[in-house]
Amino acid sequence: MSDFELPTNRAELFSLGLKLLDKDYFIGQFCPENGVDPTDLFAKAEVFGGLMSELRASGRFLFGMPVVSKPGPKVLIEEPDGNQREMIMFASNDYLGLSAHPEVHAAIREVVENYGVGAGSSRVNVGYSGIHRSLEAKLAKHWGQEAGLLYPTGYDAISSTIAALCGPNDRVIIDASSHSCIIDGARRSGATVRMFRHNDAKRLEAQLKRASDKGEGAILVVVEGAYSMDGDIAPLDTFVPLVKKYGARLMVDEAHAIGVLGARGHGAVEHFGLEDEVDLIGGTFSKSLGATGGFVVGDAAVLSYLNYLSTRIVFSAAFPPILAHGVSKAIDLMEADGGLRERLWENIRYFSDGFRKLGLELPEVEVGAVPVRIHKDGVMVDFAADLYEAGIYAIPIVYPSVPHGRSMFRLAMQSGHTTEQLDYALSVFERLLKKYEIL
Amino acid sequence: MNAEEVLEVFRKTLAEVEERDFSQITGASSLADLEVDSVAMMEVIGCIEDDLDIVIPDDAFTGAERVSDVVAAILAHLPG
Repeated sequence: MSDFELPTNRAELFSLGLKLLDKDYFIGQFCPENGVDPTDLFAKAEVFGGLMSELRASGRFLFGMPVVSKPGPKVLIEEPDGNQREMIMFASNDYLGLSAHPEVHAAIREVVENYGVGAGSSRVNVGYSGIHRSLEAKLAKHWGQEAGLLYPTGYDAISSTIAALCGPNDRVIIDASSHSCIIDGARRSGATVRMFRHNDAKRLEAQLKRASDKGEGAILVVVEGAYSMDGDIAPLDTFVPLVKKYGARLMVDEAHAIGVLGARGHGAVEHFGLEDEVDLIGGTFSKSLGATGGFVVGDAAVLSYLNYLSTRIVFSAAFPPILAHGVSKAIDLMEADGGLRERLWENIRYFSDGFRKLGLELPEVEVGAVPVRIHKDGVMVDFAADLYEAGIYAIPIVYPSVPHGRSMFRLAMQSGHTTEQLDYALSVFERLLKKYEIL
Repeated sequence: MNAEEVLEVFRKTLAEVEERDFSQITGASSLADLEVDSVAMMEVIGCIEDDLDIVIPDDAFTGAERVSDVVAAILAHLPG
């Protein structure tokens, strides 16, 4: 360890914890300022590990606490001292509770004997199974596209598709609220990357016009169907005509929209009825579909190209076939049991109305998470700790994830949350919103 | 293109992206006082790169505190 002393003020302590997660800050500023030996590759890791241990021991750093029970609206969290605490979960993206669904488990048990646990290699080698092929065919058919292509993760599906499709002469235009996988893929592609203000069609068109005026290479616009931090959905019905007007291609990442939007839960593209207008649709199986892995659906020739030129496919083992089978069952359940989605939306409406009745201003919630804006950066660490003590697991969203003064709790909803759980959470929030003079 | 002309391009592009009036800013203006968040500033710089047909590396603005720092970074990447 260096001689650095941790701040004693809890808010500063928490803020430091978040800052340390920024590698550029940690290596570029924190380490030189605190005398960490730059010639020892592991010295910074030892300092980092020590600081994280102390932060966690302070009881004010809730990120990455191990869950030691079945996933769901109520879980057991194991604390650093080994104590287990029952919590109502508002931080999981398993919106429909399909990770713990008995029929998904049965589907996995059905094939594990014949297919094993791992894929064994990359899908372009021998890691591609009949189960993968069936899931790709299902995705293509159900999402109304020519073909489907699986990736090891949702992050890989989006980032690697952009990186493989675009090159230095091209231009990738992305929303300012884009997930890291979109930014990463755009940068890795070598293309010129331009951002436009979140969900702002006017700024998108300004970027499209500049790109078109340049007349260099191709243009790819990438947006998310639903933005879980902003609590809104992309106005795809407005974006599609603009993208076409300037001869660009449109890719939609449906990560947070699958299971939440659309008549069958396919996402924002289905919600707007634009299946024939969007060029590529991608997403993850790790949220509403309760597993892991990712996919892209679209033109068969494009997906064949991606299969051999996506580094995350070629140089990574295919995602386990047993999970592919579980995902296939989860898609069936998501499509067939509309009640899952109805209950999710009932919970979203009940919870957001509950906050409004408390006197909190809340925008119309269009996604699976309720954004409770606190705005007072200085109280967030104590507010989060009080929630934790009351048995509510909610991760505080503070700077740099959001600008200063826009601190919030992003409360991820599940179809399995009971009215009693939501009422209890509302009563705790009411007490704390008053305690911290938000109300 | 001189510093005053680059400053005018910066003012005009800020106004376009933020839809606010920035005609009063000078080289001495503090970037923090502009109340333009970092993502919007990236959009502004991208537009300037396109309009002036230049490429400015991300680290060119490291440590920038005043408008004149941004103007200097842009000037340094203009051809000739």
